[in-house]
Amino acid sequence: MAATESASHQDSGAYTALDREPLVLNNRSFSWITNRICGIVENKQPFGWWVLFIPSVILTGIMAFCFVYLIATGVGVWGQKQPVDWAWDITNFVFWIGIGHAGTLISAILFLTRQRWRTSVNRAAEAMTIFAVMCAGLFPAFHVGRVWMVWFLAPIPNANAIWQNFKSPLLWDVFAVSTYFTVSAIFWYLGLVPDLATLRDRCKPGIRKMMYGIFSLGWRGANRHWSHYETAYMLLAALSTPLVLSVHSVVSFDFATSVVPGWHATIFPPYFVAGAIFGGFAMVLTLMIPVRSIYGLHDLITPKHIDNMAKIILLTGTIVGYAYSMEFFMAYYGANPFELQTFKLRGLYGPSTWYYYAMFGCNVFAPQIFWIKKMRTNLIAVMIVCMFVNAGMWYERYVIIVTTLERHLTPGSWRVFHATWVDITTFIGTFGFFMMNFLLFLRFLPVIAIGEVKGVTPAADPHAGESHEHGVQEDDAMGYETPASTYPGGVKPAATAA
Amino acid sequence: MGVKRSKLPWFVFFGGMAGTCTAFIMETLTQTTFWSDRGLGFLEKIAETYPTVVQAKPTGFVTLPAFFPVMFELTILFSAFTVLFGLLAFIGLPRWNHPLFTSKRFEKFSDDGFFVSIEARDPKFSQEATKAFLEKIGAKNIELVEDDI
Repeated sequence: MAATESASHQDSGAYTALDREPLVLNNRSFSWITNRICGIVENKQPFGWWVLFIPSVILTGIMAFCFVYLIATGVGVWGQKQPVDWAWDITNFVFWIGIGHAGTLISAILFLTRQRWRTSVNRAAEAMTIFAVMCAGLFPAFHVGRVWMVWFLAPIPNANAIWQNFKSPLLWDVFAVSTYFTVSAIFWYLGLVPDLATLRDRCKPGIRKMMYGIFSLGWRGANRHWSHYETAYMLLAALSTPLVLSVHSVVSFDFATSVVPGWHATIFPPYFVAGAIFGGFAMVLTLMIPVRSIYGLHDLITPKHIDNMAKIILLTGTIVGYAYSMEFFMAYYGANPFELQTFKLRGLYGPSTWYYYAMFGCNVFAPQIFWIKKMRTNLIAVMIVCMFVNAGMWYERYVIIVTTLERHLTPGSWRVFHATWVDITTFIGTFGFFMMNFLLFLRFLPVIAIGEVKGVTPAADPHAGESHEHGVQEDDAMGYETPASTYPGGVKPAATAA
Repeated sequence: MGVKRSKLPWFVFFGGMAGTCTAFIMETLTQTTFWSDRGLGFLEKIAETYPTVVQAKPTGFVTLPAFFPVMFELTILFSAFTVLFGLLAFIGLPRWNHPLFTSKRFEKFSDDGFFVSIEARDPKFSQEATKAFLEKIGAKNIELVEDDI
């Protein structure tokens, strides 16, 4: 109905508001949404779930084995030797922590900027954040060497009554990442409470009902509850917004505050944040496109959502490309010969230049295809670009961390890094751990925020079904003659007939 | 219903400030002579801390820029906890049970139903008059929920 109206408006050439694309297709009712999303949790999981879950559990086991092997043998089982002391472990840490950023961006920044399309993807993206930060946290914890002494990082005096060095970026990182994990978990859980109540109310009495009952905290959806709840939700969004920008900035301080050429750059914080959002959105799409087709959520995660996320990938990918180029330019234009030499070795004739080209190609060139609208809505094209971006963002961290250290200030100790089998299997194992957590999340918790998505349906709009022509139109204000055929039914609405 | 704007943000403001102060005190007490220079050396004695000399930097310096990231993170962390626990305190949750949960009709609230509950402790409550009033305004199903606790 709405579509045909706007088409006729365009034909007559009158000034009319364009229709917004609906965020929930096919005019689905509230109970359809509840049934569809709760059905994922209540019904038996499809075959595809098991096909992914079993290998994920096996990979998690392999990861656990690798860590046990590392503890039993020593960090030497990883390939790092002087001068490359930060290698795959820190690369993986930065990679995983970056993935998380898209979740917080969707849940907090898009909430504050009133981007209503976020509601279909925010729950899964926040879950992704939490699981990615869990994967990230493993690497520095084991990187310290004696993992049983990792409590030295906590802000309590250690065995010799010595406190941490609060001026160290590495300690800032501990605070930033642990705060990020905690606040993301609180935000995610608080968003889940009303939906857990929905699940509780649909369950038959039993252990499931009891668990959902406990975790939904006795939520009754009262007006007074919602009033406080929405304030709390907005506060958490407002707190998470600076937090998400700070976390990757602090991660970049690990590098930027050092004096190592190639790391000592003021461009690092914004460059890292843009890269994190870029890589994170690619991971959101990598996860959500299969979820959407496996569970039949096409009406809730529409082509518009995918289109919007592809646009963000294009934007942030281009920012990242600008940062790569600017970094090179600054090395050339700055008066530091060591910096310039580092970049020459990184991108032109060093031992690991192919990583640099892989990074540049995957992150800067691959997303440029999204300038074409057809490509942004073609799922296969989107998936392929996302895979490029996922890989490219790992290469980016590898380039920054490893290729810089391979050719640092003392040529006498130059060495090319070679990953060992433990490096490789541990990293692959974390993907299994991540996927296992995500699949369990799909199994037990509502993947889409039921309560929020109902709010963006056409049925929830208090002005649903009303015409756009209320109020003073430009035609009337300017005294244009408006043909009667412009209005629905050929009758000029009373409100504008001044 | 006359629901006023939530007072939660005020609590969160003070929660956040508490985080900032905690971080500042923790950092200055363990890294610098900030407090003992101001005649408050007993604080160091109580907390059993002493300024740590790192990279030969003087302990008399309060390097606020270097201390800032931790202050920022703890502000956010304390604020977020205040939001969570403040919210639960304001709305009186969690609670194990509620008389409304005995109503079969009530379960629809979390799907697509709309539910008005008038509590008996309301001064204007009367079993007959309230029922008649609800019928008058077009209620589809009226149910008396008894609190047997």
